[in-house]
Amino acid sequence: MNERNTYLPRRAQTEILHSEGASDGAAVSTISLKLTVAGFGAEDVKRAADAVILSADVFSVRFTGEAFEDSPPVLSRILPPMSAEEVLSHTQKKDAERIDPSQTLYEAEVIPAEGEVLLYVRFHHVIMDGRAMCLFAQRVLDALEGKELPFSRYFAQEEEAAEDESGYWAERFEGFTEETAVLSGEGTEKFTCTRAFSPAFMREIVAFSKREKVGLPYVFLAALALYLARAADRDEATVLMSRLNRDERTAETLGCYILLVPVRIGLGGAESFADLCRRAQTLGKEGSAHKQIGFSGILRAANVKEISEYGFNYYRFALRSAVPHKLALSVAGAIKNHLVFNVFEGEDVSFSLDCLSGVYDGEKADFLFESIGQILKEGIAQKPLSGIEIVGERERARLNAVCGETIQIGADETIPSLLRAAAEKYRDRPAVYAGEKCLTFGELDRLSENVAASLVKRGVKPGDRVAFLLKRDYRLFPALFGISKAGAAFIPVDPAYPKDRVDYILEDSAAAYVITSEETGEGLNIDELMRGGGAEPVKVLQDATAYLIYTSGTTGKPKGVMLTHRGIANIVKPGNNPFNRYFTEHCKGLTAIGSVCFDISLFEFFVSLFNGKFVELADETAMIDPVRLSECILRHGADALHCTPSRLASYLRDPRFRAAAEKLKAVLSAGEVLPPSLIMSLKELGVRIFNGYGPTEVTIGATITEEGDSKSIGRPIANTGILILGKDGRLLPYGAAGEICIWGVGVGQGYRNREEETAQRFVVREGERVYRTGDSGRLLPDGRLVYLGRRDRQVKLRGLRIELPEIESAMLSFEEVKQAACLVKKSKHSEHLAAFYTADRDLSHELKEHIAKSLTVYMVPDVFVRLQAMPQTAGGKTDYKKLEEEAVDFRSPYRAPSDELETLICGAFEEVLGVTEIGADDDFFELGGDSLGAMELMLAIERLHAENAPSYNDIYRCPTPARLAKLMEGEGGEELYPVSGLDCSGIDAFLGRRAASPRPFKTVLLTGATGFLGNHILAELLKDPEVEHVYCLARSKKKMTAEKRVQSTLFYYAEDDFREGKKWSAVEGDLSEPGIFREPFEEKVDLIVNCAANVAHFAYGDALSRVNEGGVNHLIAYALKTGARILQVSTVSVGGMAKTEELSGLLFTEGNFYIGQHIFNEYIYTKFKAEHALLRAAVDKGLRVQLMRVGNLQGRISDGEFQMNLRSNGFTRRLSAYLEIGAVPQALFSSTVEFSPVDEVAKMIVALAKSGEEGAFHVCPPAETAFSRLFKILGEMGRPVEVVSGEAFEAIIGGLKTSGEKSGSVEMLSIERGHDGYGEIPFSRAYTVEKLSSLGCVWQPITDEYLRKYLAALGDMDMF
Amino acid sequence: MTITKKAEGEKLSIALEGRLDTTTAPQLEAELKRSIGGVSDLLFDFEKLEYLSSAGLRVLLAAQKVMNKQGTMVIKNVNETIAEVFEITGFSEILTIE
Repeated sequence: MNERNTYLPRRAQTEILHSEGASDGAAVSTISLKLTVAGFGAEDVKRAADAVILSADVFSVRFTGEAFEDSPPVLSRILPPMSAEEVLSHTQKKDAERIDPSQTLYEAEVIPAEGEVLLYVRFHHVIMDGRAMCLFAQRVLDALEGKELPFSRYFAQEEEAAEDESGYWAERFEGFTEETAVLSGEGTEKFTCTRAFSPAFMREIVAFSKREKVGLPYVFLAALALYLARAADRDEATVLMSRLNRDERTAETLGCYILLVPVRIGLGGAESFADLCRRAQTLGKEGSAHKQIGFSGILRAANVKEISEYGFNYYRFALRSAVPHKLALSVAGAIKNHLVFNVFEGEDVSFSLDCLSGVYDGEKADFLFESIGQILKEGIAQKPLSGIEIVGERERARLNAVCGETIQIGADETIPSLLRAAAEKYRDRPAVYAGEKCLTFGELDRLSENVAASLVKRGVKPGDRVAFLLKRDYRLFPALFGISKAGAAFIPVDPAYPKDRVDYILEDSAAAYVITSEETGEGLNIDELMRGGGAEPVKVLQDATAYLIYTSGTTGKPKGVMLTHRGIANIVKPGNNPFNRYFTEHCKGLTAIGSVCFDISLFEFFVSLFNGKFVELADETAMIDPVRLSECILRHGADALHCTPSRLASYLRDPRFRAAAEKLKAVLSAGEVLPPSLIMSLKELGVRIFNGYGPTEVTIGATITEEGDSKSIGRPIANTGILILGKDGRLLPYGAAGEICIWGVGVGQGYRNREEETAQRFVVREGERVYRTGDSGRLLPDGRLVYLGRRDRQVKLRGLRIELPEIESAMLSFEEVKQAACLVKKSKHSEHLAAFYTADRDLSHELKEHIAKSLTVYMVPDVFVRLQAMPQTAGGKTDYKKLEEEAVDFRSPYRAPSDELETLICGAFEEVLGVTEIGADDDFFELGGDSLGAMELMLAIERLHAENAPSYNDIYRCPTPARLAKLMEGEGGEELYPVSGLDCSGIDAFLGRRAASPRPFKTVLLTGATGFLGNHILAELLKDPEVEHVYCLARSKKKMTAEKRVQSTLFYYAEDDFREGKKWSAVEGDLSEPGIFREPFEEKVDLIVNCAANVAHFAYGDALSRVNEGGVNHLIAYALKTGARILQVSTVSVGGMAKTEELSGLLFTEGNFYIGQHIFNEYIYTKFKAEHALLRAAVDKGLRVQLMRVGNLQGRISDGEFQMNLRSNGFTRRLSAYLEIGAVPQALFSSTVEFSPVDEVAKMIVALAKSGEEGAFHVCPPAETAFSRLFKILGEMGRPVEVVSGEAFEAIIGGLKTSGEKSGSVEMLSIERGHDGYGEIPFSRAYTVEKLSSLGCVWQPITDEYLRKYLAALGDMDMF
Repeated sequence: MTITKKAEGEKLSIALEGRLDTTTAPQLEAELKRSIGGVSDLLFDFEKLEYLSSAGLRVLLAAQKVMNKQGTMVIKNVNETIAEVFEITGFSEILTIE
């Protein structure tokens, strides 16, 4: 047996195997050469290639996984001829294939291609490097010329022992922070671009290299380093450079000698590009001299993990041969880093850029190469290093074009002129609702003229400043517009501001006057001003200061930003941005909740009023209370809202706010990035959300998203542009992160009395005024802007902008405080301001009081911590990182729980919040609880104390243990939905009478015809030959007329629009509007079928009662007038609930209305009240009434088809929640559910209508359906659920809650729970079933086949 | 309903005319089964599609599921009636409608 030699991997090989192991099977180690020769046949080339393979030991080994061992060489193969195109695709494919070193280490192919012969050889990098590939090609050419090939030994060579080089690398990388790459993105694919400079430019570069005595490789390395440092907005860059580890002895050996060396190049101290080149050369050579430790050794010594995303390779090799040839190398089959810059120096110099797709694309690679060219050009021209631009011309043009549309602004448009124009156009329309008060546009215009006249009489002149200090009532508007009309700039001041701050603002602004009301103190009284009049109108210039807004300033004092009319005239235009376009086209009015001290309130006011929309001014309570805000929204139907994302998300947890939000069409959010979950929940409600961004300094806004964008803060608004600049004020490459800078008509005039700061922030660049925001951002390839946070110490907390230094300087103004630091700390669920200080004694309490005198409430930290010493960095600055680690407790003074219940609730708080020692007065939300936590708390309390456990809303109403305990002890208090006390006299008699005669009907008025049941009833009526005409009352929606909506729904369900012999028509109208039936119908209506219902499960205000009760009252009035009869679709749920112990013996029948039931749901309550109104009219006025109480309406019996808006059905949502969780409690599994196919119900209702029998019917199939059947079929369909005990199910839910998984499903199952201690009163349908059967209508059984169709339909529609 | 098909490499565009309902949906389904293999860009032109019923919607959804794996699917020129169906059913979020 032959003895096989084995060789352990050499150093370079170990590095390669190591890096390959870390790269997840990608072809990182595949390298290849393509040598094309002319004048030889494929056989000749094969012979030559095989001769080379036989002339080196690296081709006679295989890799065992640990070592190399002798193995026979693999000779080349000749492939069939290919076209140039085929060659390209073949070799590209091969290049991207991983070579598994345990299988093979190389593969050589000879391909005849279009008259030439191509030799394609791919190698595992572990046996070859770039130079070795050139040597391979040289040997092939030599062999073709008949030269003899010396044998090349790689494995047999001794390797020199490595010295300890770690000291060098530790020193080289001292103070290194891991670099952020210039561009971000993810990708795995490589693409390569090949580029070259013009020969003339190349000659210049070579001449420069010679003149400055720097090696050519280092000229390119320096250019790349300068680009990378500047592009990342840093002062240094690190590039990974491949260095050959060859000496004279090994110069001609085939094998792998390459070692990777990181070259860290700082820009500091280098004045010229030549300096930088020399520096790159020194560092590159030094690194090369210390490379034996290997790349992994370097990383260890330097103590860094990720060192750079950028590689640099330089290949210098000139083939010498008489044989005509071309050589191309591929040096990285796949790529791990973002970019590798390869330079090939042969007879001429060419470049190839290996790029990671997803980070680079062709354009960006082009831009980069042009940047290198630009740097070389300016560098050679001896521009000072700091003056060299890194962005090439084409990229510069692209960057300068990041701006919004150009739209026209009238030259004389100002705040007063825009108001006057609106008043002219919309004179009698409501402009402002504030509490009970309403101002029309005309009144607003007149009152503000009065204020202006009064001010002018008191000596106010154009250019003056006038402040106003008013509560949130309608008088804000005449004040603000009045000041503007007097030609002065207005300054909004919040009466809730501390006196020191108000005084400072008045003093700094040198306000001529301050307008106040009786409640807000001394000044010009607004009521008096509104009575004035008689002065001449003042000419207001567009470029004059329109207003000043005082914002948080770094010096500890607020600074006044001055803005012009021109900016306002721009931002109020309908075409300014996507929100405006949608709002002006589709909305009626906007609920304003912004504080007047923030400029967003001006957006709320101006965009609405100048476009004829009304402003619903939320008062101080409604600004912060979701329930009051809901009332505000619903009061006059304002259908737009501005709100920060975090506030909106928390409000939406409140079912009443959700109900109000359903009425909204558009929401503008700002101040934070939009979370996708919020977008989803708004989409469910049918609300469009836009997200805006913009500092006060550029007139409210600069960018805005399209609807529902969570990835970016959108694109520039009209007449506005964005630049991303480095700290040196130069353009950064497209896509790199830098400071967001804004130019355009909105850019303000600057800060009042602060020339220096104004000059720093408002700069002039290429003739354009630009505001530097201090925010960091980057551009996406499609031009959208991504927000990356603050560059300085300004923070945003709950959407409010806070300068931390301002708080610190307020703290330092307290004499005993020695050092102060303030930062934002995250507690488990939210963020808080925490203040740290050093002093001789504990001053926390006094300090808080002290700074509350000068800072607004939201700037006063929640907690003050006294430290023995302030942590410091090596440089002697406050070490904020250390402070971030400091433990902080956000709590009010501790009061021990006083009784058992309080103790228990405190325990639940502790469990949910993960903090200990909760006091009885600690506020859940102040302690960091959020809406999700509120749900956990609700469940935790219930687990501990099931009796009278609080509801989800109760947690908001009573957020402390003490208040919750009080609520739970209070025995419920008064009933939320009073059922008793209604006049029920005569109702039971009416329902029991059951006397009737068949009553044919020819003309029907149908409401709710676009709903699931309503539309099926419509189809049923239209199919009936006795029915002559059906009027469908429906609302139009957006561009869809009522007619179109009914028609489209008919086709959707029935696949027939019944246009042939059409006997239906749509009547446009809203049932909840009074006076809806003022116009008589052409045909006399015999029967009214009322299917219209608002079916929201939680709603606030009168949203539900308006349609469900109010609508019915309108119908009753109409029916009494015309003699029509009414068929009301109701629900069996009006049977309500009773205490568990009283349930037995209770049965809700068709003869019942009120049997002592309780109702806990607003929807059911409104349906109950509607029944009551109808029954009263029947008893008292002889109205003929049929109540059709229906159950759980589900898919059609004919084909399983389910309602269009299937995602809004509670039953199917619960079903899909169980499926997602994968488990169902035993109790539910073995129970049954009322299940009514909709087409059956529609048929039965029409039959009962024809019978004419008055009274109530329970239109449900005779038998309920077992849940087990549904789950069994779902199991067969591949959606199994596990049946578990109730406790086990709770445990699963508990686990999911902790992990936060499947939250939608968990929430669905948690919120819709029963009412404690009560159970549903069972209902009977025996009478109706019998009645129907006497009419010849028998319910079809619910078969498995049907259930399969139904569940399949849901599945097809993506419900599961 | 008329189906007009245009295939171009990995691009397939399908224009529908008339009504997409229980009767015509199988026709489209069969056509898609035949031609969708290897398609990376599927484009539906609904300019002349008058109505869409639930059965039609299901075929579109099934096509979307296939295209999720192999490329993109876009629906163009949707009339307002059909747009409302997409909106109410919540499919305007699942489908790409231009």
